[in-house]
Amino acid sequence: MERVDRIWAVSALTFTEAVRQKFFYIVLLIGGGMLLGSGYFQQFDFGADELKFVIDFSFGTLFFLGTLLAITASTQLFYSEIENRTAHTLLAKPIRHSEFLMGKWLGVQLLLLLFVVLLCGLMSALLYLRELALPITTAESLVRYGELWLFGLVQWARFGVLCGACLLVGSIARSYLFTMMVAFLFMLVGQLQYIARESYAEIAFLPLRWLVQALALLFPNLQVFNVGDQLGHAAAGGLPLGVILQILLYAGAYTLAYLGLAWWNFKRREL
Amino acid sequence: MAEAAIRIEGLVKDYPVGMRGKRVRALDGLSLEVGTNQIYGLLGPNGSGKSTTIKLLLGLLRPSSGVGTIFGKPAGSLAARQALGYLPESPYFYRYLSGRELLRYYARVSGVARATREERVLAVLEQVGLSTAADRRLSTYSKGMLQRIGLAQALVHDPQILILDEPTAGVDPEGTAAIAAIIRDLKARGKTILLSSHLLSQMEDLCDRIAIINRGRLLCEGAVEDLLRLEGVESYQVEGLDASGRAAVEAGIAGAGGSLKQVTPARRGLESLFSQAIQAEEEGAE
Repeated sequence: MERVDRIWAVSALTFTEAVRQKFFYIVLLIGGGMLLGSGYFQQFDFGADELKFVIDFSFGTLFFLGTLLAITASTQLFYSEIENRTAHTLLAKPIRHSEFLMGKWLGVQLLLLLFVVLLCGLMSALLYLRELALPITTAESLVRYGELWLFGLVQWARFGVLCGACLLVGSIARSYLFTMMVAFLFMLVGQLQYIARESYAEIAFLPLRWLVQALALLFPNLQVFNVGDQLGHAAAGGLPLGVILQILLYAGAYTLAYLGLAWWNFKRREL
Repeated sequence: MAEAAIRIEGLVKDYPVGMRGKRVRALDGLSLEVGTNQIYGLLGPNGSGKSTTIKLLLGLLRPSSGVGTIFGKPAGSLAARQALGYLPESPYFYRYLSGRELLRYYARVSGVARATREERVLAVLEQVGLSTAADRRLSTYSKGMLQRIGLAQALVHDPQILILDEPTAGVDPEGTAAIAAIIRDLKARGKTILLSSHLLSQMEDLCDRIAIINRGRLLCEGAVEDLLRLEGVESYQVEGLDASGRAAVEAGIAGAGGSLKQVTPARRGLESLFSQAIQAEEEGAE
Protein backbone atom coordinates (compact mmCIF):
# COMPACT_ATOMS: atom_id res chain seq x y z
CA MET A 1 0.00 0.00 0.00
CA GLU A 2 2.90 2.33 0.84
CA ARG A 3 4.31 1.61 -2.57
CA VAL A 4 1.08 2.70 -4.28
CA ASP A 5 0.97 5.83 -2.14
CA ARG A 6 4.52 6.78 -3.15
CA ILE A 7 3.72 6.27 -6.84
CA TRP A 8 0.59 8.40 -6.46
CA ALA A 9 2.54 11.11 -4.68
CA VAL A 10 5.07 11.34 -7.53
CA SER A 11 2.37 11.17 -10.21
CA ALA A 12 0.24 13.85 -8.53
CA LEU A 13 3.22 16.20 -8.36
CA THR A 14 4.19 15.41 -11.95
CA PHE A 15 0.64 16.16 -13.06
CA THR A 16 0.58 19.41 -11.06
CA GLU A 17 3.86 20.46 -12.61
CA ALA A 18 2.62 19.55 -16.09
CA VAL A 19 -0.63 21.51 -15.90
CA ARG A 20 1.31 24.54 -14.69
CA GLN A 21 3.33 24.63 -17.88
CA LYS A 22 2.35 27.01 -20.65
CA PHE A 23 3.16 24.39 -23.26
CA PHE A 24 0.17 22.29 -22.21
CA TYR A 25 -2.20 25.23 -22.65
CA ILE A 26 -0.64 26.18 -25.97
CA VAL A 27 -1.16 22.64 -27.30
CA LEU A 28 -4.67 22.63 -25.86
CA LEU A 29 -5.47 25.99 -27.45
CA ILE A 30 -4.10 24.91 -30.82
CA GLY A 31 -6.10 21.67 -30.58
CA GLY A 32 -9.28 23.51 -29.58
CA GLY A 33 -8.70 26.09 -32.31
CA MET A 34 -8.22 23.40 -34.95
CA LEU A 35 -11.38 21.58 -33.90
CA LEU A 36 -13.39 24.80 -33.86
CA GLY A 37 -11.89 25.72 -37.21
CA SER A 38 -13.09 22.46 -38.69
CA GLY A 39 -16.64 23.88 -38.44
CA TYR A 40 -15.79 26.14 -41.37
CA PHE A 41 -15.50 23.15 -43.65
CA GLN A 42 -19.25 23.51 -44.25
CA GLN A 43 -18.43 25.98 -47.00
CA PHE A 44 -17.16 23.04 -49.06
CA ASP A 45 -20.71 21.65 -48.97
CA PHE A 46 -19.74 18.06 -48.31
CA GLY A 47 -23.24 17.21 -47.13
CA ALA A 48 -23.15 14.11 -44.98
CA ASP A 49 -19.49 13.52 -45.89
CA GLU A 50 -18.61 16.75 -44.21
CA LEU A 51 -19.07 15.01 -40.87
CA LYS A 52 -16.65 12.27 -41.88
CA PHE A 53 -14.17 14.92 -42.93
CA VAL A 54 -14.53 16.74 -39.62
CA ILE A 55 -14.14 13.46 -37.72
CA ASP A 56 -10.96 12.57 -39.64
CA PHE A 57 -9.60 16.08 -39.12
CA SER A 58 -10.37 15.93 -35.39
CA PHE A 59 -8.78 12.49 -35.06
CA GLY A 60 -5.72 13.80 -36.86
CA THR A 61 -5.54 16.75 -34.47
CA LEU A 62 -5.77 14.47 -31.43
CA PHE A 63 -3.21 12.10 -32.91
CA PHE A 64 -0.67 14.76 -33.86
CA LEU A 65 -0.92 17.12 -30.88
CA GLY A 66 -1.24 14.23 -28.42
CA THR A 67 1.96 12.71 -29.79
CA LEU A 68 3.73 16.05 -29.47
CA LEU A 69 2.48 16.49 -25.91
CA ALA A 70 3.30 12.91 -24.90
CA ILE A 71 6.91 13.11 -26.05
CA THR A 72 7.57 16.65 -24.86
CA ALA A 73 5.88 16.33 -21.48
CA SER A 74 7.34 12.96 -20.53
CA THR A 75 10.84 13.97 -21.58
CA GLN A 76 10.69 17.38 -19.96
CA LEU A 77 9.10 16.28 -16.69
CA PHE A 78 11.58 13.43 -16.28
CA TYR A 79 14.57 15.49 -17.24
CA SER A 80 13.72 18.51 -15.11
CA GLU A 81 14.01 16.28 -12.04
CA ILE A 82 17.54 15.33 -13.02
CA GLU A 83 18.70 18.72 -14.23
CA ASN A 84 17.28 20.57 -11.22
CA ARG A 85 18.65 17.84 -8.97
CA THR A 86 15.27 17.37 -7.30
CA ALA A 87 15.78 13.70 -8.21
CA HIS A 88 18.77 13.65 -5.82
CA THR A 89 16.63 14.76 -2.91
CA LEU A 90 13.82 12.44 -3.89
CA LEU A 91 15.91 9.32 -4.52
CA ALA A 92 17.74 9.85 -1.24
CA LYS A 93 14.37 9.09 0.36
CA PRO A 94 13.21 5.51 0.83
CA ILE A 95 11.61 5.34 -2.60
CA ARG A 96 12.42 2.78 -5.26
CA HIS A 97 13.62 3.84 -8.70
CA SER A 98 10.73 1.87 -10.16
CA GLU A 99 8.24 3.86 -8.07
CA PHE A 100 9.77 7.12 -9.23
CA LEU A 101 9.54 6.07 -12.89
CA MET A 102 6.01 4.72 -12.52
CA GLY A 103 4.97 7.95 -10.82
CA LYS A 104 6.44 10.01 -13.64
CA TRP A 105 4.77 7.87 -16.29
CA LEU A 106 1.42 7.94 -14.51
CA GLY A 107 1.60 11.72 -13.98
CA VAL A 108 2.14 12.29 -17.70
CA GLN A 109 -0.62 9.80 -18.52
CA LEU A 110 -2.99 11.77 -16.30
CA LEU A 111 -2.08 14.91 -18.21
CA LEU A 112 -2.69 13.14 -21.51
CA LEU A 113 -5.96 11.75 -20.21
CA LEU A 114 -7.08 15.29 -19.45
CA PHE A 115 -6.00 16.34 -22.93
CA VAL A 116 -7.84 13.43 -24.59
CA VAL A 117 -11.00 14.00 -22.52
CA LEU A 118 -11.07 17.73 -23.31
CA LEU A 119 -10.49 17.21 -27.02
CA CYS A 120 -12.94 14.30 -27.32
CA GLY A 121 -15.53 16.33 -25.38
CA LEU A 122 -15.06 19.32 -27.66
CA MET A 123 -15.07 17.04 -30.72
CA SER A 124 -18.36 15.43 -29.62
CA ALA A 125 -20.03 18.77 -28.90
CA LEU A 126 -18.95 20.30 -32.21
CA LEU A 127 -20.05 17.25 -34.22
CA TYR A 128 -23.39 17.19 -32.42
CA LEU A 129 -24.03 20.86 -33.23
CA ARG A 130 -22.87 20.38 -36.80
CA GLU A 131 -25.06 17.33 -37.24
CA LEU A 132 -28.07 19.29 -36.00
CA ALA A 133 -27.39 21.98 -38.53
CA LEU A 134 -27.03 19.63 -41.51
CA PRO A 135 -30.06 18.77 -43.63
CA ILE A 136 -29.83 15.05 -42.97
CA THR A 137 -32.98 13.00 -43.12
CA THR A 138 -31.77 9.64 -41.75
CA ALA A 139 -33.33 8.58 -38.46
CA GLU A 140 -30.02 7.48 -36.94
CA SER A 141 -27.14 9.74 -36.11
CA LEU A 142 -24.30 9.65 -38.60
CA VAL A 143 -21.77 10.24 -35.85
CA ARG A 144 -21.06 7.38 -33.45
CA TYR A 145 -20.21 9.39 -30.40
CA GLY A 146 -19.12 6.43 -28.32
CA GLU A 147 -16.56 5.55 -30.96
CA LEU A 148 -15.04 9.03 -30.78
CA TRP A 149 -14.19 8.22 -27.18
CA LEU A 150 -12.96 4.77 -28.15
CA PHE A 151 -10.58 6.43 -30.57
CA GLY A 152 -9.46 8.69 -27.72
CA LEU A 153 -8.87 5.63 -25.53
CA VAL A 154 -6.78 3.90 -28.22
CA GLN A 155 -4.71 7.06 -28.72
CA TRP A 156 -4.24 7.41 -24.98
CA ALA A 157 -2.87 3.87 -24.92
CA ARG A 158 -0.56 4.81 -27.80
CA PHE A 159 0.63 7.86 -25.87
CA GLY A 160 1.38 5.51 -22.97
CA VAL A 161 3.73 3.51 -25.20
CA LEU A 162 5.44 6.71 -26.34
CA CYS A 163 5.84 7.94 -22.75
CA GLY A 164 7.33 4.57 -21.77
CA ALA A 165 9.75 4.84 -24.69
CA CYS A 166 10.68 8.42 -23.70
CA LEU A 167 11.45 7.30 -20.15
CA LEU A 168 13.54 4.45 -21.55
CA VAL A 169 15.56 6.84 -23.71
CA GLY A 170 15.73 9.37 -20.87
CA SER A 171 17.04 6.70 -18.49
CA ILE A 172 20.13 6.37 -20.69
CA ALA A 173 20.51 9.77 -22.33
CA ARG A 174 22.50 12.61 -20.82
CA SER A 175 20.67 15.49 -22.43
CA TYR A 176 17.10 16.64 -22.80
CA LEU A 177 17.52 17.48 -26.49
CA PHE A 178 18.98 14.07 -27.31
CA THR A 179 16.09 12.36 -25.54
CA MET A 180 13.55 14.42 -27.47
CA MET A 181 15.19 13.73 -30.81
CA VAL A 182 15.52 9.99 -30.21
CA ALA A 183 11.92 9.86 -28.96
CA PHE A 184 10.64 11.50 -32.15
CA LEU A 185 12.79 9.15 -34.24
CA PHE A 186 11.37 6.25 -32.26
CA MET A 187 7.87 7.43 -33.06
CA LEU A 188 8.77 7.71 -36.73
CA VAL A 189 10.25 4.20 -36.80
CA GLY A 190 7.11 2.90 -35.09
CA GLN A 191 4.86 4.60 -37.61
CA LEU A 192 6.83 3.28 -40.58
CA GLN A 193 7.45 -0.14 -39.16
CA TYR A 194 4.84 -1.74 -41.35
CA ILE A 195 7.23 -1.25 -44.30
CA ALA A 196 9.89 -3.29 -42.50
CA ARG A 197 7.30 -5.92 -41.64
CA GLU A 198 6.34 -6.23 -45.28
CA SER A 199 9.99 -6.39 -46.33
CA TYR A 200 11.25 -9.05 -43.97
CA ALA A 201 8.53 -11.40 -45.10
CA GLU A 202 10.40 -11.50 -48.39
CA ILE A 203 13.84 -12.29 -46.96
CA ALA A 204 14.74 -15.80 -48.06
CA PHE A 205 17.74 -16.30 -45.76
CA LEU A 206 16.07 -17.51 -42.56
CA PRO A 207 18.61 -16.38 -39.90
CA LEU A 208 18.56 -12.89 -41.39
CA ARG A 209 14.78 -12.87 -41.45
CA TRP A 210 14.68 -13.92 -37.77
CA LEU A 211 17.21 -11.25 -36.90
CA VAL A 212 15.16 -8.57 -38.64
CA GLN A 213 11.99 -9.92 -37.02
CA ALA A 214 13.66 -9.78 -33.60
CA LEU A 215 14.83 -6.23 -34.24
CA ALA A 216 11.33 -5.26 -35.38
CA LEU A 217 10.02 -6.54 -32.05
CA LEU A 218 11.97 -3.80 -30.25
CA PHE A 219 9.70 -1.21 -31.82
CA PRO A 220 5.93 -1.31 -31.65
CA ASN A 221 4.00 -1.16 -34.86
CA LEU A 222 2.27 2.16 -34.24
CA GLN A 223 0.05 1.63 -37.28
CA VAL A 224 -1.93 -0.71 -35.03
CA PHE A 225 -3.33 2.40 -33.36
CA ASN A 226 -4.45 4.02 -36.60
CA VAL A 227 -8.07 3.03 -36.21
CA GLY A 228 -9.58 6.37 -37.20
CA ASP A 229 -10.90 5.04 -40.51
CA GLN A 230 -13.00 2.42 -38.72
CA LEU A 231 -14.41 4.62 -36.00
CA GLY A 232 -16.65 7.60 -35.51
CA HIS A 233 -18.88 7.59 -38.56
CA ALA A 234 -21.84 5.39 -39.43
CA ALA A 235 -20.19 4.52 -42.74
CA ALA A 236 -16.89 3.58 -41.09
CA GLY A 237 -17.95 0.10 -40.01
CA GLY A 238 -16.70 0.22 -36.45
CA LEU A 239 -14.27 -2.08 -34.66
CA PRO A 240 -15.17 -5.18 -32.63
CA LEU A 241 -14.52 -4.80 -28.91
CA GLY A 242 -12.12 -7.72 -29.08
CA VAL A 243 -9.89 -5.82 -31.50
CA ILE A 244 -9.90 -2.77 -29.25
CA LEU A 245 -8.91 -4.97 -26.31
CA GLN A 246 -6.12 -6.53 -28.34
CA ILE A 247 -4.80 -3.07 -29.22
CA LEU A 248 -4.92 -2.04 -25.56
CA LEU A 249 -3.10 -5.22 -24.55
CA TYR A 250 -0.50 -4.60 -27.25
CA ALA A 251 0.02 -1.09 -25.89
CA GLY A 252 0.14 -2.38 -22.31
CA ALA A 253 2.75 -5.01 -23.16
CA TYR A 254 5.05 -2.51 -24.88
CA THR A 255 4.55 0.10 -22.16
CA LEU A 256 5.42 -2.42 -19.45
CA ALA A 257 8.43 -3.65 -21.40
CA TYR A 258 9.74 -0.11 -21.90
CA LEU A 259 9.13 0.86 -18.29
CA GLY A 260 10.88 -2.32 -17.19
CA LEU A 261 13.91 -1.52 -19.34
CA ALA A 262 13.83 2.12 -18.20
CA TRP A 263 13.85 0.93 -14.58
CA TRP A 264 16.75 -1.45 -15.27
CA ASN A 265 18.78 1.39 -16.79
CA PHE A 266 17.76 4.06 -14.33
CA LYS A 267 18.61 1.89 -11.32
CA ARG A 268 22.16 1.65 -12.62
CA ARG A 269 22.37 5.28 -13.60
CA GLU A 270 24.63 7.48 -11.52
CA LEU A 271 23.20 10.88 -10.64
CA MET B 1 30.35 -2.26 21.05
CA ALA B 2 27.72 0.05 19.58
CA GLU B 3 27.26 -0.19 15.85
CA ALA B 4 28.59 2.76 13.89
CA ALA B 5 25.95 4.96 12.33
CA ILE B 6 28.01 5.28 9.16
CA ARG B 7 30.89 3.07 8.18
CA ILE B 8 32.97 3.49 5.04
CA GLU B 9 35.64 0.94 4.23
CA GLY B 10 38.18 1.34 1.45
CA LEU B 11 35.83 3.30 -0.75
CA VAL B 12 37.12 3.88 -4.27
CA LYS B 13 35.27 5.77 -6.94
CA ASP B 14 36.51 6.21 -10.48
CA TYR B 15 34.67 8.36 -13.00
CA PRO B 16 35.03 7.65 -16.70
CA VAL B 17 36.33 10.62 -18.66
CA GLY B 18 35.89 10.88 -22.41
CA MET B 19 35.43 8.04 -24.87
CA ARG B 20 38.80 6.29 -24.49
CA GLY B 21 38.04 4.54 -21.24
CA LYS B 22 40.18 6.97 -19.24
CA ARG B 23 39.16 7.27 -15.62
CA VAL B 24 39.60 9.85 -12.90
CA ARG B 25 39.81 8.71 -9.30
CA ALA B 26 37.54 10.77 -7.06
CA LEU B 27 37.85 8.59 -3.98
CA ASP B 28 40.96 6.60 -3.22
CA GLY B 29 40.42 4.01 -0.53
CA LEU B 30 38.55 6.22 1.91
CA SER B 31 37.70 4.70 5.28
CA LEU B 32 35.67 6.46 7.97
CA GLU B 33 33.46 5.64 10.87
CA VAL B 34 30.80 7.96 12.27
CA GLY B 35 29.53 6.99 15.71
CA THR B 36 25.95 7.51 16.79
CA ASN B 37 24.88 10.90 18.10
CA GLN B 38 27.95 12.64 16.75
CA ILE B 39 28.25 15.73 14.63
CA TYR B 40 30.84 14.65 12.15
CA GLY B 41 32.44 17.17 9.83
CA LEU B 42 33.71 16.28 6.40
CA LEU B 43 36.21 18.85 5.22
CA GLY B 44 38.09 19.27 2.02
CA PRO B 45 38.63 21.68 -0.85
CA ASN B 46 36.45 21.62 -3.94
CA GLY B 47 36.86 18.35 -5.82
CA SER B 48 38.28 16.56 -2.80
CA GLY B 49 35.61 13.87 -2.84
CA LYS B 50 33.14 15.12 -0.19
CA SER B 51 30.11 15.16 -2.46
CA THR B 52 31.11 11.84 -4.02
CA THR B 53 31.29 10.31 -0.53
CA ILE B 54 27.86 11.66 0.31
CA LYS B 55 26.34 10.47 -2.97
CA LEU B 56 27.80 7.02 -2.43
CA LEU B 57 26.24 6.87 1.02
CA LEU B 58 22.88 7.86 -0.48
CA GLY B 59 23.12 5.32 -3.29
CA LEU B 60 23.11 8.02 -5.97
CA LEU B 61 26.50 6.70 -7.08
CA ARG B 62 27.93 3.19 -7.01
CA PRO B 63 31.45 2.59 -5.66
CA SER B 64 34.16 1.16 -7.90
CA SER B 65 35.22 -0.82 -4.86
CA GLY B 66 34.83 -0.73 -1.10
CA VAL B 67 31.67 -0.56 0.95
CA GLY B 68 29.58 1.93 2.84
CA THR B 69 27.03 0.94 5.45
CA ILE B 70 24.36 2.80 7.40
CA PHE B 71 23.69 1.08 10.72
CA GLY B 72 25.13 -2.06 9.13
CA LYS B 73 22.87 -1.91 6.08
CA PRO B 74 24.36 -1.44 2.61
CA ALA B 75 24.49 2.21 1.59
CA GLY B 76 21.82 3.03 -0.96
CA SER B 77 19.50 0.21 0.10
CA LEU B 78 15.94 1.11 0.97
CA ALA B 79 16.52 0.26 4.63
CA ALA B 80 19.62 2.46 4.72
CA ARG B 81 17.79 5.37 3.09
CA GLN B 82 14.96 5.00 5.60
CA ALA B 83 17.50 5.92 8.29
CA LEU B 84 18.86 8.90 6.35
CA GLY B 85 17.78 12.47 5.82
CA TYR B 86 19.63 14.46 3.18
CA LEU B 87 19.99 18.15 2.53
CA PRO B 88 21.79 18.70 -0.79
CA GLU B 89 24.07 21.63 -1.50
CA SER B 90 22.05 24.59 -2.86
CA PRO B 91 18.82 22.60 -2.85
CA TYR B 92 16.27 23.23 -5.55
CA PHE B 93 12.69 22.46 -4.70
CA TYR B 94 9.41 22.69 -6.56
CA ARG B 95 9.01 26.43 -6.19
CA TYR B 96 5.32 26.49 -6.97
CA LEU B 97 4.59 24.47 -3.82
CA SER B 98 4.20 26.00 -0.39
CA GLY B 99 6.50 24.88 2.40
CA ARG B 100 3.72 22.77 3.89
CA GLU B 101 2.89 21.12 0.54
CA LEU B 102 6.54 20.30 -0.06
CA LEU B 103 6.85 18.64 3.33
CA ARG B 104 3.60 16.70 2.81
CA TYR B 105 4.99 15.43 -0.48
CA TYR B 106 8.29 14.30 0.99
CA ALA B 107 6.54 12.80 4.00
CA ARG B 108 4.31 10.79 1.69
CA VAL B 109 7.22 9.66 -0.45
CA SER B 110 9.15 8.70 2.68
CA GLY B 111 6.30 6.50 3.86
CA VAL B 112 5.15 8.58 6.84
CA ALA B 113 1.76 7.14 7.81
CA ARG B 114 -1.24 9.21 6.76
CA ALA B 115 -2.47 9.39 10.36
CA THR B 116 0.69 11.09 11.60
CA ARG B 117 1.70 12.96 8.46
CA GLU B 118 0.17 16.34 9.29
CA GLU B 119 1.45 16.18 12.83
CA ARG B 120 4.94 15.38 11.58
CA VAL B 121 4.85 18.21 9.02
CA LEU B 122 3.82 20.68 11.70
CA ALA B 123 6.53 19.44 14.05
CA VAL B 124 9.35 19.90 11.55
CA LEU B 125 8.03 23.28 10.44
CA GLU B 126 8.14 24.30 14.08
CA GLN B 127 11.58 22.79 14.51
CA VAL B 128 13.11 24.82 11.68
CA GLY B 129 11.17 27.97 12.58
CA LEU B 130 9.03 28.17 9.47
CA SER B 131 5.56 27.74 10.96
CA THR B 132 4.48 31.25 10.00
CA ALA B 133 5.76 30.88 6.42
CA ALA B 134 4.35 27.37 5.94
CA ASP B 135 1.69 28.40 3.44
CA ARG B 136 3.85 30.72 1.38
CA ARG B 137 5.14 29.52 -1.95
CA LEU B 138 8.77 28.47 -1.97
CA SER B 139 9.42 30.99 -4.75
CA THR B 140 8.98 33.72 -2.12
CA TYR B 141 11.41 32.16 0.36
CA SER B 142 14.80 33.69 1.04
CA LYS B 143 17.97 31.61 0.65
CA GLY B 144 18.09 30.99 4.40
CA MET B 145 14.45 29.91 4.45
CA LEU B 146 15.06 27.54 1.54
CA GLN B 147 17.92 25.96 3.44
CA ARG B 148 15.68 25.58 6.47
CA ILE B 149 12.84 24.03 4.47
CA GLY B 150 15.50 21.77 2.98
CA LEU B 151 16.46 20.77 6.46
CA ALA B 152 12.80 20.19 7.28
CA GLN B 153 12.34 17.82 4.33
CA ALA B 154 15.41 15.92 5.46
CA LEU B 155 13.85 15.56 8.91
CA VAL B 156 10.27 14.85 7.91
CA HIS B 157 10.45 11.06 8.22
CA ASP B 158 12.38 11.33 11.49
CA PRO B 159 15.63 9.69 10.29
CA GLN B 160 18.39 8.77 12.72
CA ILE B 161 21.14 10.19 10.52
CA LEU B 162 21.25 13.51 8.72
CA ILE B 163 23.61 14.21 5.88
CA LEU B 164 23.92 17.94 5.32
CA ASP B 165 25.92 19.12 2.33
CA GLU B 166 26.93 22.75 2.80
CA PRO B 167 23.83 23.58 4.84
CA THR B 168 24.81 27.22 5.24
CA ALA B 169 26.09 27.92 1.73
CA GLY B 170 25.02 31.40 0.67
CA VAL B 171 23.14 32.05 3.90
CA ASP B 172 23.68 35.29 5.85
CA PRO B 173 25.24 35.16 9.37
CA GLU B 174 21.85 35.29 11.07
CA GLY B 175 20.53 32.41 8.99
CA THR B 176 23.78 30.54 9.51
CA ALA B 177 23.44 30.90 13.27
CA ALA B 178 19.84 29.68 13.07
CA ILE B 179 20.87 26.58 11.11
CA ALA B 180 23.72 25.92 13.52
CA ALA B 181 21.23 26.09 16.41
CA ILE B 182 18.98 23.58 14.65
CA ILE B 183 21.93 21.22 14.14
CA ARG B 184 22.82 21.44 17.84
CA ASP B 185 19.20 20.78 18.72
CA LEU B 186 19.22 17.71 16.47
CA LYS B 187 22.25 16.35 18.27
CA ALA B 188 20.47 16.96 21.57
CA ARG B 189 17.59 14.88 20.19
CA GLY B 190 19.96 11.98 19.61
CA LYS B 191 20.52 12.36 15.88
CA THR B 192 23.79 11.66 14.09
CA ILE B 193 24.86 14.38 11.69
CA LEU B 194 27.35 14.15 8.87
CA LEU B 195 28.17 17.69 7.87
CA SER B 196 30.08 18.96 4.89
CA SER B 197 30.97 22.63 4.88
CA HIS B 198 33.56 25.16 3.87
CA LEU B 199 32.88 27.31 6.90
CA LEU B 200 35.72 26.06 9.03
CA SER B 201 35.01 28.18 12.09
CA GLN B 202 31.45 26.88 12.10
CA MET B 203 32.66 23.31 11.74
CA GLU B 204 35.08 23.83 14.58
CA ASP B 205 32.24 25.11 16.68
CA LEU B 206 29.74 22.42 15.81
CA CYS B 207 31.57 19.19 15.19
CA ASP B 208 32.58 16.50 17.64
CA ARG B 209 34.84 14.88 15.10
CA ILE B 210 36.16 15.88 11.71
CA ALA B 211 37.82 14.24 8.75
CA ILE B 212 39.87 16.18 6.23
CA ILE B 213 40.03 14.68 2.78
CA ASN B 214 41.83 15.75 -0.34
CA ARG B 215 42.06 14.07 -3.73
CA GLY B 216 39.84 11.34 -2.37
CA ARG B 217 42.23 10.42 0.43
CA LEU B 218 41.81 10.81 4.15
CA LEU B 219 44.42 13.23 5.51
CA CYS B 220 43.45 13.25 9.15
CA GLU B 221 40.53 12.26 11.30
CA GLY B 222 39.62 12.54 14.93
CA ALA B 223 37.96 14.52 17.70
CA VAL B 224 38.15 18.24 17.06
CA GLU B 225 39.80 18.92 20.43
CA ASP B 226 42.49 16.30 19.82
CA LEU B 227 43.24 17.47 16.33
CA LEU B 228 43.52 21.11 17.26
CA ARG B 229 45.65 20.62 20.34
CA LEU B 230 49.32 21.58 19.94
CA GLU B 231 51.28 18.94 21.80
CA GLY B 232 53.65 20.21 24.54
CA VAL B 233 52.41 23.76 24.41
CA GLU B 234 50.12 25.35 26.98
CA SER B 235 48.39 28.67 27.01
CA TYR B 236 47.80 30.79 30.09
CA GLN B 237 45.00 33.24 30.66
CA VAL B 238 46.24 35.73 33.17
CA GLU B 239 44.20 38.51 34.73
CA GLY B 240 45.20 41.72 36.52
CA LEU B 241 48.64 42.19 35.08
CA ASP B 242 50.10 45.55 34.19
CA ALA B 243 52.94 46.06 31.72
CA SER B 244 55.67 45.28 34.22
CA GLY B 245 53.84 42.28 35.50
CA ARG B 246 53.56 40.91 31.99
CA ALA B 247 57.34 41.15 31.70
CA ALA B 248 57.77 39.20 34.87
CA VAL B 249 55.42 36.38 33.87
CA GLU B 250 58.25 34.09 32.93
CA ALA B 251 59.78 34.58 36.33
CA GLY B 252 56.64 33.55 38.05
CA ILE B 253 52.98 34.56 37.70
CA ALA B 254 52.32 34.41 41.38
CA GLY B 255 55.30 36.62 42.19
CA ALA B 256 54.02 39.30 39.80
CA GLY B 257 50.78 39.66 41.72
CA GLY B 258 48.42 38.15 39.15
CA SER B 259 46.00 35.32 39.68
CA LEU B 260 46.13 32.30 37.45
CA LYS B 261 42.64 31.80 36.07
CA GLN B 262 42.97 28.92 33.66
CA VAL B 263 45.56 26.70 32.10
CA THR B 264 44.48 25.00 28.89
CA PRO B 265 46.28 23.22 26.11
CA ALA B 266 47.19 25.74 23.44
CA ARG B 267 45.32 25.14 20.23
CA ARG B 268 45.43 26.34 16.70
CA GLY B 269 42.35 27.18 14.67
CA LEU B 270 40.68 24.69 12.40
CA GLU B 271 41.41 27.02 9.52
CA SER B 272 45.11 26.62 10.22
CA LEU B 273 44.91 22.83 10.53
CA PHE B 274 42.97 22.65 7.29
CA SER B 275 45.42 24.80 5.36
CA GLN B 276 48.42 22.88 6.67
CA ALA B 277 46.89 19.53 5.89
CA ILE B 278 46.01 20.52 2.34
CA GLN B 279 49.37 22.19 1.78
CA ALA B 280 51.28 19.15 2.99
CA GLU B 281 49.23 16.92 0.71
CA GLU B 282 49.77 19.19 -2.28
CA GLU B 283 53.54 19.32 -1.64
CA GLY B 284 53.67 15.55 -1.28
CA ALA B 285 51.84 15.11 -4.56
CA GLU B 286 54.23 17.33 -6.52
